[in-house]
Amino acid sequence: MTLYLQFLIDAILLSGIYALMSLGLSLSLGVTRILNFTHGEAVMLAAYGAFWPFFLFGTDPLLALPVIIVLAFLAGAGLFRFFLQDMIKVPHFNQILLTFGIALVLQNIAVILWHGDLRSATPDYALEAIDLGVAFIPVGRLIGFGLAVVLSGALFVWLRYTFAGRAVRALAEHRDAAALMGIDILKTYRLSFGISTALAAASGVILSMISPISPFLGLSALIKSIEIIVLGGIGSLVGTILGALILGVAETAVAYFVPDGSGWAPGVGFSLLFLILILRPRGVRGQAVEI
Amino acid sequence: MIKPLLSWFGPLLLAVLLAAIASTGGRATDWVFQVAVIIPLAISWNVMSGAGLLSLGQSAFWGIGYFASAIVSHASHGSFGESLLVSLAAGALTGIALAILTGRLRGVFFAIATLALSEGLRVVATMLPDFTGGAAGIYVNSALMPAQSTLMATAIGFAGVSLLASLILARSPMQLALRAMRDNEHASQMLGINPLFYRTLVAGGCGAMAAVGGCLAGWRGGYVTPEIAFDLNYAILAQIAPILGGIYTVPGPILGAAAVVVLSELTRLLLAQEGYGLLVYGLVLALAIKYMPFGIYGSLLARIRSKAARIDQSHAPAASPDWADDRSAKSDVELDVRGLSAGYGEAEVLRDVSFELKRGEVICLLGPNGAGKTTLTRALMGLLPAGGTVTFQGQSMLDRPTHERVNKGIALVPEGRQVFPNLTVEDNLLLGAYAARARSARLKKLDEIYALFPRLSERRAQQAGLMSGGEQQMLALGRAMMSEPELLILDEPSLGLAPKIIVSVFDAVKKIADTGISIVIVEQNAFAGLSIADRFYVLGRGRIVRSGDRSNIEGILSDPNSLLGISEPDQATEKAGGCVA
Repeated sequence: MTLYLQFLIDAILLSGIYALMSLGLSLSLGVTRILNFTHGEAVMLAAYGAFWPFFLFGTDPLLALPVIIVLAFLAGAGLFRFFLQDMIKVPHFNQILLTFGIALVLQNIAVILWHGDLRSATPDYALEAIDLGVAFIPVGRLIGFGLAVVLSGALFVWLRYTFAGRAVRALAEHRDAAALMGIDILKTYRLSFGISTALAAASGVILSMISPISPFLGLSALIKSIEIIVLGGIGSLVGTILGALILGVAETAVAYFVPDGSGWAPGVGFSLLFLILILRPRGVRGQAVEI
Repeated sequence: MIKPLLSWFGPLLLAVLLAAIASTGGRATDWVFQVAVIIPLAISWNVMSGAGLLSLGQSAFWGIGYFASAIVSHASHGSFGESLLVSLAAGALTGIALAILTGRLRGVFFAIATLALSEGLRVVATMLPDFTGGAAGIYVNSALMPAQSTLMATAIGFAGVSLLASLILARSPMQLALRAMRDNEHASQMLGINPLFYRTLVAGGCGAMAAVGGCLAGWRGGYVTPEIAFDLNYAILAQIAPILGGIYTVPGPILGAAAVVVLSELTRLLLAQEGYGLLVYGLVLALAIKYMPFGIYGSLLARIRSKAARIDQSHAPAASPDWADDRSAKSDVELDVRGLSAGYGEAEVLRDVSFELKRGEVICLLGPNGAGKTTLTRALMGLLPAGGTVTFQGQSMLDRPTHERVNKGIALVPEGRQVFPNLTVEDNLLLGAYAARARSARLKKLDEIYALFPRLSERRAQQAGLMSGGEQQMLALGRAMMSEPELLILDEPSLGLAPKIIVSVFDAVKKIADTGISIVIVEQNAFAGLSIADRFYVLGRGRIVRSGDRSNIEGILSDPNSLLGISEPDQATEKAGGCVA
């Protein structure tokens, strides 16, 4: 019983962090139809952004978080402005490969600067756990989960109730019609790339608090995010959250109940991806936009 | 004459390069070998991309072949030749399985699946140590190692076979089917092309090709771990080589493979530290995609073509007259369109369309299917690039983006309504007031629209996509009115609606016109359009062919055949079916 309760706690905490990691990618893909391969690198760079102040000055990653979010927003908007804005009409192939190339550059700048070693920025309190008697709640993951809930909630409220948020949703549904509403398409694209990157960065800071980081973190974060988005259904943010829940639960289950499970965990998303592609290629929630 | 010659440029350059490298000795054989095994890898990626199968995980096939070298020789003491056959079969089967499993996936999805496949295989290889040696790796059975010269000859031979295969494919009728699939898989299906069959064929063949390349590399490497075999490096090499050389072309992958190997060896010589190699690949990939999307081969070709084109330039048409100077300064002209031309790519749909609209006037632009009606409305709104001049309230519009035109007071109700289907009715309407000119007064305007269309008020919380065509048309109209336009353009508001609904839509348009807003109705349904118009124009084959005022309209409404009489004889048949509903 205790095992199952602990499993449930771990699965849900992991799912929350996964949701935050993938929501941004889901947003930018749904709005611009460009799959941004630098998304994972934003997670990785933000993790280092939290690590260095912590390592050098003992700065709490949570204090660095607002600064990192702002910088990431600017970087994401800048990425769109300077690399993708003049390429919105070229085939998707080229856009994907361009962001893939940029991602490679970012990853390997990190490899060159910081080498492949594992590091972590875990403050002492994040290592503690709340003892419930029957199960433990790891504090670091709980904080991460809380942040994920707050930031995702803020995203949903912003999309639902503000003019800019409504413009983003309109653009995801119909580009020309959105332009006819007087929406500045390119500005809205930049905005969604900025928000997307900021959310990725927030998840990177959380990851640095709860697990070791390396320059190769970005690729696995990217692949997980993509798996989550496809699981949930492209273009649906609610679907993305469901996808994160499915992946989080499945990975935790494999780690808990399969011998040698933690080694297999990275393969879980891959298997789920193929399963969903065969059974229900439009995702759990149904694909909301055509790519 | 030049093109067939140029298609041999690649192999020729390769031969020169190989000769040059071979003469330097030392590491040169390494270079040659690498080029030779990367060629099949690059060709396999290129052929798959050419069929619309963008692979980001070509290392999956490569890695399977790489492992085959060690597993076959080690576990079952199979020979070099047998391992090649095994890798060929395993690569083909993996490709076929991938194609079938991802049968319904296009573009991005397929790319994701390949990336996941490669990473997944790496995990599997690591977690099955009994079979693959696990993370510790496995050695190729050195007792069975062929002579280095045999290995080299086989690699060069196989590169040649791959090149030949891609050359034959490029000349075969199948190439056309693959191109159609790349362009638009749905459309290709309607032409009788079975995408699944071709996908399976292409993925199987390319999987086999890449796997054999990997197997050869495995024999030369002598040692395999999951990290080495499924190294994403090779997935990246597989993309960079064709892109750098010239994507979708036959010589591209060969040129690119040579360039990439030279590049990576130079990087290794100059910047030995980990990371620089991939950094350079990333830079090259990004720069090539952005600044040289047709690659080395493509830019060579373009240079030759531009020489040929220079001769033709004397035939270019003279620049169109500058209508801007001639602009009428009359203050009551709301919209002045002069010499408007627009189209899609090379196909010009509108040629020299001129008309004007006075403030508060309602005009109807009539035209049959294909006359360019929707092209005209899109050009007026800036959704399509256009030539000529469009002057709204004395200000030139053509160089402004769509959202600025909306903010100046032009609104379009687009063809097919284009409501935001997953948003609520109210969200759709509020989006109509997104423009700064309308945003502050949006709630007042919302009440006005609900008063005009009570139906929308009842359904304000419903998803727009769930409403009937007539209701959606009301919503599109209301949404356009939310931006407080001074000029309203309607593109076929009657399209797909029952006659009774059409009447109520045009009643609403009439009410809007009575408030003094200038209106352009673009219609195929002459009765509906003319019923509320002050003047009309007839658009045929991309230009204005006739125009008329109220007196003509009354004549037409009482005698529909008179519309046929005022159009050009060669359009009469079209109009009979199109305009007079």
